[in-house]
Amino acid sequence: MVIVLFGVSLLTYAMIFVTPGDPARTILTQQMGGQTPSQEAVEQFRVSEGLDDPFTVQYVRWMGDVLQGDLGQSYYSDQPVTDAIAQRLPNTIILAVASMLVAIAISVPAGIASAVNPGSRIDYTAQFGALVGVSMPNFWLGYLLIIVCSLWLDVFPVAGVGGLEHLVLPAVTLGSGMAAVIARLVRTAMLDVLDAAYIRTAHSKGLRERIVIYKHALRNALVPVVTIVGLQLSYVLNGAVVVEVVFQRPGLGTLLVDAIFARDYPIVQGVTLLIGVIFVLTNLAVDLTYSRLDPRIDLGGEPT
Amino acid sequence: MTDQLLRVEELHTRFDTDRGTVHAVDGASFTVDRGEIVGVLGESGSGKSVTARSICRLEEPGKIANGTITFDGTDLTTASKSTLRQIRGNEISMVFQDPTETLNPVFSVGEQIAESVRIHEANGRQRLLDFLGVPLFRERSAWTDARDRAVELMDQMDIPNPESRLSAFPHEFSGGLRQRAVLAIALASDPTLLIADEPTTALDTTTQADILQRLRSLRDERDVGILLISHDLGVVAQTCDRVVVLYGGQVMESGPVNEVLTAPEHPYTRMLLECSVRNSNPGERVRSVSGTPPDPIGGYEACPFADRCRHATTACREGYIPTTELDSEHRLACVEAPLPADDALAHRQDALTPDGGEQDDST
Repeated sequence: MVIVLFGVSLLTYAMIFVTPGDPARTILTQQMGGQTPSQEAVEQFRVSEGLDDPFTVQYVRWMGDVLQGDLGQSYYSDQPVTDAIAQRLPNTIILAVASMLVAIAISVPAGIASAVNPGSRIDYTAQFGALVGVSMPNFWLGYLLIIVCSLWLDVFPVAGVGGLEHLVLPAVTLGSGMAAVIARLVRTAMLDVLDAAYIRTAHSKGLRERIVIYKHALRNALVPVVTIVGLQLSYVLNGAVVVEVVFQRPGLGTLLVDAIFARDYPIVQGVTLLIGVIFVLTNLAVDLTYSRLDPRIDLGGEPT
Repeated sequence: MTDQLLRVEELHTRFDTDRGTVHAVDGASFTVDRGEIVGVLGESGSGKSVTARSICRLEEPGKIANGTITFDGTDLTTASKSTLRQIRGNEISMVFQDPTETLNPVFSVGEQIAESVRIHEANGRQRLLDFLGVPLFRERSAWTDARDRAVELMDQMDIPNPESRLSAFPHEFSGGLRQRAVLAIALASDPTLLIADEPTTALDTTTQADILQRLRSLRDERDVGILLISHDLGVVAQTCDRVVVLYGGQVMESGPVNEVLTAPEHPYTRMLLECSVRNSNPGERVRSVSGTPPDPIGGYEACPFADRCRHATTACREGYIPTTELDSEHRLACVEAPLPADDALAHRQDALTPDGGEQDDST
């Protein structure tokens, strides 16, 4: 895991290093209100920020700081990157959790309903919905929802953060795409499980259909679903970038996008590293959930 | 015919497949009395398991096209879902073939037995949240009692250290222990009819003998009627009172075990006996049956066994085969009966007796 994280940090750093665009020039232009900065000023900025040093030196210096919990400072404001992230992170986490909840609330019942009545009208509707959900790009759905729900119906605010009402549209936008993927997965997993002999046993005990499905079948079907839900978290973080821009939510996504446009490298690096860390930690959490869901998966590696 | 528990009449169970309609059970009729073990004997594909499942109304994706299944006065083919649930929870229990597959891998064995106890005691009242174990909705004292009962049941099934095994998962059990756990689940509802579909096929001989002994004591002590599905002549001979020989979804011959398996009248039953290892002389090759059961798509116009039968005549291939009654118990579906004594069966008398079931029962 440490190696993976190390790789992530190296890659993000390297990618930014080779990205075209001179941060010194861009930043100074902006600081001077659009005037082209003098060559000396540019040189001076490069030296003071250490931009002239070779890649390895820069990387090691940055890594050393990161290990001490210091992600550097934004080129623009004197705000440390950690502060900037800490300010925005809660918004993104709330959005991620809310959209996950939306996704699960839609997809699990839909997937189960499809699997229980394969070939029925419910199944086709759910599958068609899933197809639409997968195919629809986030930013487009986001704007559609703004037009319909905010401008026409005036139910939810267009943009910004605040109460729950600000969260609904972004969460639905982000959650629906995920719901589509998860619903298909739940359907396949459930169809598989419903054929199992232990489901017949559960029926033969005289158990109600609903309990057979929600207890005996669902629990088994959840194992593959949890994996994907875990992996989908990266999708949420990706999607958050777009959705936050669409809805003007101050979160990690907007922070990242703004920083990229402004060539504010310390922030870009900090955010990317954080996303990498979150991703790795989620995967760990998924592995731990496995063994809770399916006792046969023993982390010690005992064969079943 | 005293105290009839189950009466299956003209049962037809069909499966619609892409290749056509499979007539898995094609007009089978038989009965099971209280305190009696009836064996259903046949090769794979003869419709044994589908018959068993149809009785529990778990025939899906198949459909019961025709016939009646009368259990204790109720016709199960027309019974409502809730009636069926009641009957499954209180009257009929089922044990399926492979205990590795029939226990839910993600719940502890104790939970699965306790659940069966709860279903039986809750009497049709099953709340989802209670069974899911959602904290505030779980009736804790009822589950604690059910677990105590589960320990008793495991103990009765000779599962060692039942208390400590209560929270064990199926994969931590050996095959024999699993099948005992499955039996414990089946018996938790104190059934009057037990349907056991190849309960010992996946087990070693010692465990098999033990499980069969258990079935016999259920019959003797609790007066349970048992329908034992098996492809194994030895198992049927050792355990059953009566036997129904099934082929192509039809009953070929039925009657008391000691008549049918010692003096079979149907060529199919004779063939099965010839192939039994038990009936072979040492050093001699065990006979094998040529051919396989026919593809039951579209059902049969005539005797399903005709193509493999050495006595088959044109009458066998054309038209309906009537069932003849040799005596009140022993029935036969063969137009060629009575058959000439088969010389291949010459050694069967002395071969079946030494090791055969009838003697086991009396010891």
